[in-house]
Amino acid sequence: MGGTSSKLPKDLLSEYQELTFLTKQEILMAHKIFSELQDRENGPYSSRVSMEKVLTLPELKSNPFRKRICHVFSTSDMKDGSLSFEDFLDLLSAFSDSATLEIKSHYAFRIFDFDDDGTLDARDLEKLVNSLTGETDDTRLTAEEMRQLISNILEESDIDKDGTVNLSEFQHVISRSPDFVR
Amino acid sequence: VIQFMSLLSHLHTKSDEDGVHDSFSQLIQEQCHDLHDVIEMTPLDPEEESRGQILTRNRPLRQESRPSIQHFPRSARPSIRGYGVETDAAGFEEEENKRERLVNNLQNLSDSDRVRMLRAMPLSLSEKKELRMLVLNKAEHSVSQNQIPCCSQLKYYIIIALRHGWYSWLSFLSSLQLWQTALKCVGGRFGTGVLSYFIFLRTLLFFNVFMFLVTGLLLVVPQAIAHPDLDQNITVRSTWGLEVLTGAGYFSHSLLYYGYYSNKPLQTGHSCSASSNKTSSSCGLSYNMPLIYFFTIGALYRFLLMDFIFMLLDTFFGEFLWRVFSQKALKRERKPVFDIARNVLELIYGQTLAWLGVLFSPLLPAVQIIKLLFLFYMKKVSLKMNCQASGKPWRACQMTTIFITLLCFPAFLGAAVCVTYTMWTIKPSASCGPFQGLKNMFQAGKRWFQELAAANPDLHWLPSAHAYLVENPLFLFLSAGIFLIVIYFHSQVVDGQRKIIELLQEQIENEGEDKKFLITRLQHIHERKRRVTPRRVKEASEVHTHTLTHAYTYTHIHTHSHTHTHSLIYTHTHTHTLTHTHTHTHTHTHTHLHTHIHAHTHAHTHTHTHTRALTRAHTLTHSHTHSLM
Repeated sequence: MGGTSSKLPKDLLSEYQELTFLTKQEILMAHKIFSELQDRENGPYSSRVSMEKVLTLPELKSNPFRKRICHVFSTSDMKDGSLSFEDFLDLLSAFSDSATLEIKSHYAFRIFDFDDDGTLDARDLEKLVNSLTGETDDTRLTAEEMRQLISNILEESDIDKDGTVNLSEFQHVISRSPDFVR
Repeated sequence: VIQFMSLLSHLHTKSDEDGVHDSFSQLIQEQCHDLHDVIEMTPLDPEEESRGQILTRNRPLRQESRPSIQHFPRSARPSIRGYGVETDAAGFEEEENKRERLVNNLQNLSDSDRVRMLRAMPLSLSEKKELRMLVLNKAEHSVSQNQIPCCSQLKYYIIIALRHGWYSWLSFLSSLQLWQTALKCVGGRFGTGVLSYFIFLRTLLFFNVFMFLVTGLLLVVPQAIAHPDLDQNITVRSTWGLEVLTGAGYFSHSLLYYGYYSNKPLQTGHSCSASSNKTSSSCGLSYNMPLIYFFTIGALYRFLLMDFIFMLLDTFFGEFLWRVFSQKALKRERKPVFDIARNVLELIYGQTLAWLGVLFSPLLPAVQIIKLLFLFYMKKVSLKMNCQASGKPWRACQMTTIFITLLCFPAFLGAAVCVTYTMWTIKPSASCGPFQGLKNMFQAGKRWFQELAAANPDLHWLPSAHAYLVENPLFLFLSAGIFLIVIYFHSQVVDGQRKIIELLQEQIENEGEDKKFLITRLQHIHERKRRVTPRRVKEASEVHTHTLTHAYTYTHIHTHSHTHTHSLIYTHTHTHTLTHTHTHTHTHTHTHLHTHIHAHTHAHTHTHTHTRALTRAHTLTHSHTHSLM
């Protein structure tokens, strides 16, 4: 039931500190938030929090890629996007400031790969752009604009000219982006 | 499997983990032997590689590993996924194998490296925990066999405690970073362009803090400790309010201006060694009273203050009132945009004033610090209230470079030139300040050297050396010349690297096309051969299809062929001339291949230069295989 505020054992805490990019305070805060999410779950206590509950977090609520994020970080066998506490820590670590560029770009690639085939082809890019521009009709791109945009993207990122962006090409183009230089 | 593959690739891409890289290249080569993979890990030395060598190297297909040449950009692996090539479905044992080797390699690293590697692996946390446990168990296992129990236990605990301390110190440091939350908010809401302005402001603040620390510790504090005797015939006006604005009055005889600084060595109770520095040219200077008045009370302090006041007014009118105006009167939908360029220029202007003035007013950096602190909060509030995010993208990192360059070149150099000129030529004041009675400020340094030489007969060469070095213009010309040569050299290196980048990109494109070509040809051939019925041809075609299926899925060729080859095309020709007996004698076929290829490349050169305009060995063998079909 509710009210089970379990404390994080010390050795686990130091292990998490070593294996992720989070500081001790951040891990404890994450534990608190996760426990609250667990308390709010309907149904029996389980070590995983379902995707709907995770998506109620204010940080994820307005993120257009929230569902993909949950799917990518989830290690659940049922592929339902539910997160355990360690998956949650993985998520926070990948998004933290001290995470390396490789980690961030790796996970970004997986998040953007909507069909999970290991490359970003034109369909993936189209879904990506649509997620960013919004669902309403006046903010969506027309088919012509979409085609133009995707061909521009591929021209700039697709180095081997196979029509898809693979992980290395993606990482290359991301490393040139000014937001990642700091 | 994919995770382990990507794990391997990411370990490869860490170009600074030389130790891990070496062990991993070893791992890959061992795998080569076991699985007969053709993967070439080439050495990392960019100086040794000539263009020709770069051009003839092939990239492996199956794994995403690449030679981690430090200076070269990431080269994309041509992806053949679209052609339905099956990826290697590694068995469970292979995975275990890889994990074993990974654990071994991780073990060989030092602790901090291991932590860093583990953190940077894109694996899930549970897998990382497993790995870590395996590594630690192995470490304990190997260590426990040969050591003195008690001493190393103690050492172990000390190391653990130190590491905990280090982590907590690091987290404390990261929380100390000034204004981090504020900057995150600003950056998140208004974009990286506006963020770059605030970061520039923070950088300027740190410059000023540094300068203040230097001048403060060396100049202000010793002087403050030992009060000089003031010139009594200057009356001090006591209107307090006006003084902050004009900088005159009370301030004029305080630490703010260097009339306050004495030119004799300070006598204090504890003869501080700093006292002898007072006559060196880096410290305060004697005062040319009219000049002083011009520079400080008259101008620079006031300039700084005025600049600040104008920034205030500007923010108020420019941003606040303009927003109100545009929303009410002009009825525009959106708030005005934060004008980054103008604000940055104002910052640079203020900083130039501070630099110009620091010669005569050592506490000016402190004033600048206060001003910048105030400005940060003011701009932040104004931003939140008045502005909205810009519609145009702003290339923040290049802009930051431009800001710093603008700061350095016109501003800092100009200020430095002015200050140097002042120190060199203008006759210091005879009545106050640290350089009283000297011809110019550099004289102080000379005099110090002379005094040193007089005091200590061993250093008699010092004044003449000093005169020779500092006053001889040749020395300055030489150093400036060397500096320019170094800059030229670096710019040429950058140029060369840019050319290499272009070349490598071209090479990647070409390789991708080559592989596409190969695959489509082989697909055609495969299909054609299927339809042929006669027995003999069937046999041959069986042989051929056998070899062709191997060729079609590159990975399979590699797993079955025993030749230690460098190019995958070698195996193509190999299988074409194959009979059963050939498989046994590896080297034999190898040399056979050599001559084969040599003979045929010659014949087919011309076709290839037309179709591909390439002169590489392996594309020539394209036509070779083609004609044999």
